[in-house]
Amino acid sequence: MSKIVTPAIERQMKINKRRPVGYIASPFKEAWRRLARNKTAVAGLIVIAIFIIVAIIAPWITKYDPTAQDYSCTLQPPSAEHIFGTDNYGRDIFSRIVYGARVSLPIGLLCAICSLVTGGVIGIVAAYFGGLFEDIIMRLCDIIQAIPPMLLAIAVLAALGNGIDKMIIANTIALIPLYARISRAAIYTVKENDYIEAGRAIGAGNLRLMFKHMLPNALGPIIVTTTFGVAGCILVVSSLSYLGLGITAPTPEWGSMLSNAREFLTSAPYYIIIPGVMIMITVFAINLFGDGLRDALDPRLK
Amino acid sequence: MGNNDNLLELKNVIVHYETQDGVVEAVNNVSFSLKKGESLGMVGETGAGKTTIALTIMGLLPKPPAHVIRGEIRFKGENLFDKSVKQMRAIRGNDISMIFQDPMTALNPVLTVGDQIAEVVRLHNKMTKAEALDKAKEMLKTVGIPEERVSDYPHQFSGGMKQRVVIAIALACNPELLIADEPTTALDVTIQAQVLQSIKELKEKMGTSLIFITHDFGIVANICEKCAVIYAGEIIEMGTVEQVFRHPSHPYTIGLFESIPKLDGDEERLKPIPGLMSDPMDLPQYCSFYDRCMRRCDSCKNGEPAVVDLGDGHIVKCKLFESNGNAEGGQE
Repeated sequence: MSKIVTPAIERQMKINKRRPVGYIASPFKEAWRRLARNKTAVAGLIVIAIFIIVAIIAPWITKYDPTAQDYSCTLQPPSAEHIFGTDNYGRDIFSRIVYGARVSLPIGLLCAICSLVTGGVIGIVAAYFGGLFEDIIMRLCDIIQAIPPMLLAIAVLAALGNGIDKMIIANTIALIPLYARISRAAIYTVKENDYIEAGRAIGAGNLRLMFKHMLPNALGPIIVTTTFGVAGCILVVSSLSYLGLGITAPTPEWGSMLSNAREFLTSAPYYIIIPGVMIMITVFAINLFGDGLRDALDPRLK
Repeated sequence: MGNNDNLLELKNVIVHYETQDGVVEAVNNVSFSLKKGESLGMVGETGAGKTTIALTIMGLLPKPPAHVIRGEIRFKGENLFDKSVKQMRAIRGNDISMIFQDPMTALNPVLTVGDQIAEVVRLHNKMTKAEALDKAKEMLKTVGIPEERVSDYPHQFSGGMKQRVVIAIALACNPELLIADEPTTALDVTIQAQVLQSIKELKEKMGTSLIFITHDFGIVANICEKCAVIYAGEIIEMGTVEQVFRHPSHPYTIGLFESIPKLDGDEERLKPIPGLMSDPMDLPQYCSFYDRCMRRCDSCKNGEPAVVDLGDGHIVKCKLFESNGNAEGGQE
């Protein structure tokens, strides 16, 4: 009997040819493949990648120093000379946007990672041991979460003073309960599985059970929350800068640029639109990517 | 009866689950012993306490709600209840290991099977990762899986193969005691036969003692030497497979045998045992099988039946035999 070859079979044969014999996809490679098929997620990823590359090669693609003032051309609308125009001190807005990416992106990422690691460990340990220990930890989280994160960050900054490092600390503290909660819930879904009991039956200790057997199985929701967390942090940092907290004057930062541009809303609208749009695009791209990631890591959609 | 060639000895073990709704008397006064290389089949219906006995031996009872009320478990002469958490961890997987009921959920989905076998090897032996992986390949070959599949993930195996991987993990450290908790219940019949064959062969090859928990008398006859019938957390009859199968004595055991279809009989219907197992939260003061027993009499309500030795270690716990056997003093 001749075998029927459909386009789907042809595609699979092509893929198989490229793979070594006995190729096995790990669950994470599998998830990556599903992610690559999701067009909006890939679009988000590409935008993020472009922003990161631009931030890295900033000195080579900008003509002007982002902090150099030039009073001969203040508040110029976009032109060939200054493609995004200039601000009230005559600084090139394009340079400031590009260098601003060097501030906003790493801060967002760093805040998310710091709070993920501390909050994650707290949540995992709480879920694993349970009992009174868990109750105390989770009630502490409740207390912190009862304060709006923005307000908490402002309070911490007011206590510690301005600066990028303090900004990261403030944001991290505000976000720890969120991550503790998410990882606790994620661990709860895998905690009662037979393979954890089986792990115990081969003599595995607490740390090994927590971080080798439970964590990898619970990683999906944690990763997704982290991506959304990055976007959230960028927004909070921008908002704080807009309020004049955190990152101080000459440093180019999107939020503080928005804040400066407020006075020139009618005379130079491009000045406020450009950083606003940049913040929006970044957060949007990260959220798209996070959405795709959630779908890719959801085993029910396999 | 301090018998020193006993590998495992349970003495009057009582385990309760203390829940919000009441106290579940899961294991009541269970005593048995197992010699090196011997295999014991534990038979009983769902909820009889078989798995609880297994978990008690492993030290894996969920505490709370479980509480060991009394008794001791001697493994190689030492009481397991006296061991520290760390000592128990060293014993689990190395000296005593367990095969779980459902192979579909007993393997970690994000680790390769090789990693999972190598893990138990490395936990109990000083070995490099490469050496442990070699050992993993060897174990896979022993259970009849090609060694190339060492870097496959559990979802790429069929149910029967997964159970073999679980067996490979359990046997990787040459344990002296293997507890198999209904290892074939989740598998279809042809695969069951293969898995049973592997367990039987490996057990004989490695000289491992085996506790085989099941509700299938056929399996017990196939791979065990001794057989214990569990009802409501008690051993109500125990002896060699020969003794129990040829001369089932307790009315419950007889009832169990009568509810198995026979090829040579001409009965049209099976004879199920009427009623349900007594509520383990509210066990009677007398024989717990009284309500369902076909041969009950008035004296059955007078306290718990004594353990009677019918000869050659064939013991039965029933009032009917108290007069003609040599009673072992009953309830201590």
